[in-house]
Amino acid sequence: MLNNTDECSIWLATHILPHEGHIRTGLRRYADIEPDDIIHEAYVIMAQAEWSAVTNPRAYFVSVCRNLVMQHYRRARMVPVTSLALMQADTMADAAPSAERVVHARQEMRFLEKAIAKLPARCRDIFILRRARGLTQKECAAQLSISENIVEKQLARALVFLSKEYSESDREMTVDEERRPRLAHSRKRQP
Amino acid sequence: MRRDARVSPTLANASPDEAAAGWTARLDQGPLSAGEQQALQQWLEQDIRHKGAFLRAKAIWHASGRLAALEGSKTPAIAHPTTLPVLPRRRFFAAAAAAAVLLAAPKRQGKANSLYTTSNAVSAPLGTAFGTITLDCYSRLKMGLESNRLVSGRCCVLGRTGMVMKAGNLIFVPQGRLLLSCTPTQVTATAISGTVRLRRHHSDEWWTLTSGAQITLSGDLPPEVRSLMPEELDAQNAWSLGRLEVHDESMASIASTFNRYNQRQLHVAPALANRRLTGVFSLNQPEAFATAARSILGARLNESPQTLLLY
Repeated sequence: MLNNTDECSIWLATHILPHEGHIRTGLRRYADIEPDDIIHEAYVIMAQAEWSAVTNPRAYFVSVCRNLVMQHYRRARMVPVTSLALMQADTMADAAPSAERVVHARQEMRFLEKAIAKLPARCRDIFILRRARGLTQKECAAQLSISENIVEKQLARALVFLSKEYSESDREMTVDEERRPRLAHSRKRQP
Repeated sequence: MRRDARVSPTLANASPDEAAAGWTARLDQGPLSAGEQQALQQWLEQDIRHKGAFLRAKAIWHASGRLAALEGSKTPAIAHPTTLPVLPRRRFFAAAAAAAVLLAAPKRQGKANSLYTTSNAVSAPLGTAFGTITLDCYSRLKMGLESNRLVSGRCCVLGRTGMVMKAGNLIFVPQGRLLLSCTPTQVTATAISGTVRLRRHHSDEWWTLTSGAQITLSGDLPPEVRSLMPEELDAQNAWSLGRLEVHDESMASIASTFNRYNQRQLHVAPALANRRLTGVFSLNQPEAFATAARSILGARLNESPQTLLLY
């Protein structure tokens, strides 16, 4: 699994990560479910699957999470009635085909920009030098006259922070319902 | 952010997200030692959630690479290289020979400096000794022995060493895919892949555009350079691949684009003109788009050999 390439990370970054906040919101409504655990397991399942053939990543992400919730309840001795009802109503998140980019690249940029602005100053400087200007960790250390070890630790710190921001990204990353464009291949019946 | 967040991958009390972030940052620093490799492997095998956290951290790391585009808009991705190697004359004659056997769909006028013009269609790729040039609709291209000039409109150049393109008072030497557009007042060049060297006419100062960079020149004003995101590049390059990418665009605007590229004209009733659509369509199949739009908008479609009417 360690060997799975950057391509997989890029696919997850482009097609899965932006939907995570929305799907977490759905998961939070289930009793006895830890959204973090479901999301982490879902990443493993998706990375091991034939991800390049997935045509509707968001729907795929939803269905993987739903199956994991089901598995959890199957193993559990007591299943909350409300959770069962939720599963049946299938309201965790819509699995409609989403050809459109619900998450616009510009919005994700704004999201990242805002998130980075909240980092402590030194952590932010290091992260920007490394990720935005493309300096190596060694070059970052030289430019800021600090040790490479500090650069590495601060980058990890920034990643932990971004990880939390992505977890709570529901509002920031999705298009408002009224502005959401109609799907190019939704199956609406003709009048 | 927690001030005391301990993110070292070696700390046992770190949360999966913290440890995953630590390992991701460590891997970015350089190759792991055998001991570290073993420690990482052990940690990953401890719990499936560790693997998930690690995959997710790597995904977030990649996603944060978008910041480069943001930074790029402030600091142009443009460099001043050394002088360009002189092109052997023999290659010019090779270009001339190739220019003589062009498989061009657009209309050709003249001989020494061939002028190609397109109307409502994209040209077939025009072959030269140093690559191909695809001409967008309503564009004009002058092909010469030593260089080619985009007179007006838009073209996509796939060039290798020896390809020289001109537009306005600019000279381009692309090694890769270059998107070029030219109006009487403005020239815009986008490096889709590879690199593009360019200079002004009568100037020895060469610049280099790297992949994803776009330069706009209006008259004698200083050039404007910005970095495009992969999605923007795809959208701008779509026409040369026979695709139309629209994002939340009005039916009226989509129809006018289709009509520029096709004989069969698409008309949209006023009631539907402001409805908006998103999708990727085949640029030379307005019928397929009309059928899709009919289903999505719940509209009716009237077809005749020359027109398509959505109402």
